[in-house]
Amino acid sequence: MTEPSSGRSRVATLTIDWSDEVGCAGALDCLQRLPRSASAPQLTWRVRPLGERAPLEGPVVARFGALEARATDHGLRIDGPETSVSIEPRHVSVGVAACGREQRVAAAVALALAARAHGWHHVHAAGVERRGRAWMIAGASGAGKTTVALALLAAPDARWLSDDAVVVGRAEGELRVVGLPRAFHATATTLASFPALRAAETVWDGPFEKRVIDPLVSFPGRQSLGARPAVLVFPGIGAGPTRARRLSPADAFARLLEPAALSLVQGLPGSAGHLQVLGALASECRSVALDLGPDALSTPQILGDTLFDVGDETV
Amino acid sequence: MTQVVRAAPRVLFTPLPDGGVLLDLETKVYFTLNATGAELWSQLARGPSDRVALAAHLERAFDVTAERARADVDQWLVELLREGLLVESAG
Repeated sequence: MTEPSSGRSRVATLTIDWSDEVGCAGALDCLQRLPRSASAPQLTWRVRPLGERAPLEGPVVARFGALEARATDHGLRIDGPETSVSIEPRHVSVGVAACGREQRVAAAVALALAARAHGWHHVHAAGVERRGRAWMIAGASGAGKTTVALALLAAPDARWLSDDAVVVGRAEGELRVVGLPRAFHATATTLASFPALRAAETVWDGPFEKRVIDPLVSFPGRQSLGARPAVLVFPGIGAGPTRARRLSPADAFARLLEPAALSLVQGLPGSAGHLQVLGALASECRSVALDLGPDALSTPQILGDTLFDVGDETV
Repeated sequence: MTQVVRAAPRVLFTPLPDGGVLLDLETKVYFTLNATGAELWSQLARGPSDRVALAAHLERAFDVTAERARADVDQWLVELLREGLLVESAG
């Protein structure tokens, strides 16, 4: 039995790389450092070889590909052919018989659900901080999150939170967003717009071939430890000139809701709290739909000009 | 016999400025409420009610005529019952 404390964990003869694909080690470290109330439980995370599984009665409350989630006496269990993850408020136990996409998805779901028990809610978004305020860029893979984040980071006083995953919660009553540390992933097209960046190996992100960028190397000393959410950006690829359209709180909420639907399930713990956080983001931030035209790639600084102006309106 | 309505247990309400959003956790249908709808939902969140009581509440909360309040409540009930966001039973 082993507990990941770095990028790799060894389980018997199996090595699980938590650093890039799952981001669990960094994310767990991040979660342990988050502000917490005195009543919040300490979270431990254990990885073990897959053993015997007691059959669970009761209906499947959520499915994630081949994975099925069922309620247990104290939490939830996610089972797949080669994976079994037990999630309780104080303890996450990951049983694996292999290391692949199934295990990575299970670990990511477990992490997101465990974070809920601590009052922090995963949002599929990039994040950039400037002067204490955060621009959260939300959308599916391929929507342009990384392009927008890199463009905002061209401002010398901007700092990075994440290019894909953040957690949002309240610290001392104030809404706060913290990035889950992992490498940035950019397409070759995006990279061509930022020639100063150095990319490492190539990986597949769903249907997209992407290059890995280590933000600690590309933006040294510019990691943000957290910020107050100020602007929600929902990018999409368009054919015309780049433009931002203001969204109402209800429209912004609906856009936050769509990618979260899988994790908003009756019987899954924390759904009500998750909705409250999404509602708070939609209510307290300025929100824009950003149509990314070809000019966003040829002149990415227009993104900073446009989006920082939106944030300045909130002052 | 009075028809009593209650919020479907699988539906969650999220307040937003000038209203809110209902999400059905089973069907993933979400439904935007304006300020009037959000007020009615908040009333139902306190317990089951009927169209007469809801209309009376609306009349007081928004200072509208009884006729207008009844019409608004009737339309609201039809829409939410159709979407399965409310459950109706004999009172």
